[in-house]
Amino acid sequence: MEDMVLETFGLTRRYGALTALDGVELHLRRGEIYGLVGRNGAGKTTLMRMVTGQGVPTAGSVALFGVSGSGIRRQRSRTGVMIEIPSFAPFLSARANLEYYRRQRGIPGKAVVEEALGAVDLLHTGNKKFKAFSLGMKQRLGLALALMNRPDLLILDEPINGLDPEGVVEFRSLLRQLNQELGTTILISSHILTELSTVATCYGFMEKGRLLEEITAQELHDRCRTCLRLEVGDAAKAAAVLQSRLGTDQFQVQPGNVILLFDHLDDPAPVSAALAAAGIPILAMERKGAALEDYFLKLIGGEEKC
Amino acid sequence: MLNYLNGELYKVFRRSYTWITLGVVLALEALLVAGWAFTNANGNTVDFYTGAGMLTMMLSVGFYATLFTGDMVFAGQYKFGTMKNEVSFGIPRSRIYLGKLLAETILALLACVVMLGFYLALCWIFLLHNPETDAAVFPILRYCLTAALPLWLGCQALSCLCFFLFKSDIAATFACVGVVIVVPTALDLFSLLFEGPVGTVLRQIYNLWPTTLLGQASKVAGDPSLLLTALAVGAVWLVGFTALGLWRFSRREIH
Repeated sequence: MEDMVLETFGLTRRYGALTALDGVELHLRRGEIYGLVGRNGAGKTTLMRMVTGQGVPTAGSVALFGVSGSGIRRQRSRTGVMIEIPSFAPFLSARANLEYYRRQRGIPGKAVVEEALGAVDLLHTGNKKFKAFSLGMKQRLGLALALMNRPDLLILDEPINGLDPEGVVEFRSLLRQLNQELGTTILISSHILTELSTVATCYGFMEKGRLLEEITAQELHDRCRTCLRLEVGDAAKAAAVLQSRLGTDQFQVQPGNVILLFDHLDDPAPVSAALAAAGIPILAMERKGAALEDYFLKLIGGEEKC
Repeated sequence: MLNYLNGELYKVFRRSYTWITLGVVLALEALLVAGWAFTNANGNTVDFYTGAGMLTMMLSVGFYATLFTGDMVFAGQYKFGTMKNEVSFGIPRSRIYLGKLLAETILALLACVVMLGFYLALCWIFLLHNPETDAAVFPILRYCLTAALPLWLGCQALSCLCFFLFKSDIAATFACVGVVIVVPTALDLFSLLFEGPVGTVLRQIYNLWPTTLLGQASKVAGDPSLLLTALAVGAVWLVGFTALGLWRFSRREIH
């Protein structure tokens, strides 16, 4: 039984002078939910398109379920894919579109169409044509198609675009259910990183076509330390007070008289008391956890908030 | 391939466009025959031989019909971005290409049978009959259709290539019409302008163009050499355009 579901080896794609993918080495193991993080144009969609066979790499290769080369095409039938905006025949209904793909792909049993529609709450759409669907409904139908063949690997590019808040919650729940109950491995990209952080078990950070880092959710948690954010009247004096009276050097002084304190997180009272005793006004105090966005910004060289 | 074909035919026959187009063609046929029947009622003598014989002059319509069948099956897959759904599932690109060509051919043959059958039935029912001429028209029709089928099939391969080649369906249509209609017209013109071997070669190519061959079919009915030429030209077009299409599509980036 193959442990590595998806692996890329020096995957590169150039469009003329533009290098959209630059030697990407991605590793996705069975049962993981892999969050692909990156700005617009970072190469996330290009990477997914190379993996799904929609594009041909300039260099490097892809292995799906341990199979690379010409045999990979057969392995693609074990995947469910939704990349960019879901596309269907506009003149057919949701049910007819899925039935078309079911027949084309040779998936046995008409019931799978109803099951897939039911999983994304589209059973009620009747004869309404795809062209009359809202963006959210189109997203749901795209997901239904991706799920119809009960895939071992789901590849989802920005899947929650256009979903309403209720749809996002349902979608998140569906992903967890697929992952935990059916063992479906998932590769997912999203711009809404906080949303991604609620489901991903590991991350890959992309920038300018390169995969900068792969880490597990646990590693990310360890690296993103929770802190107390203090906005004070005089940061230099406050820093001295923290050192002398509280005996801690677990803090960072930031511009704008802001101090990030990594100590006394569960009991901030001595902090405020010490600063007040020293006559340093506390303008704001909040407990703050470093988010996925912050870590990503730090990684690509942007501003780190915590 | 059977699964792929099953899916394509399911899609085509679920489209109202398919049925509306067929309905319009059948209505036009009915209108034409009704017009003749009306003039017959007022003293004219349009008989079955004349009505059915009209088909031999309308065979070139089959070239344009391949654009409709091509469009019905291809269904704007680049425009609507649906090609990615097929490629990403691991369906071989050769199967996608050949499957669509086969579906187009099946659709074209079915439409051909329905349209010709309907027209001949109308002519048989509503036009005058002369036992001597009635019997004479069928061998001519059979000959012309035998010559037309391989040429239509070659043109279907061209139509399929154009839809796979161009992002825009309109561009594909113009390209296909250009090859079928504009190229032979240009060949005819340049063969007259150039003297010597160049002119001769251009004339030879013009003579082997499907539209030219089909135009000659009704005039030389019974001549087996034209049938063989039509079969050879149709086969060359089918194989040539299909090979070109397969090669181009195998390298195409799908969006």
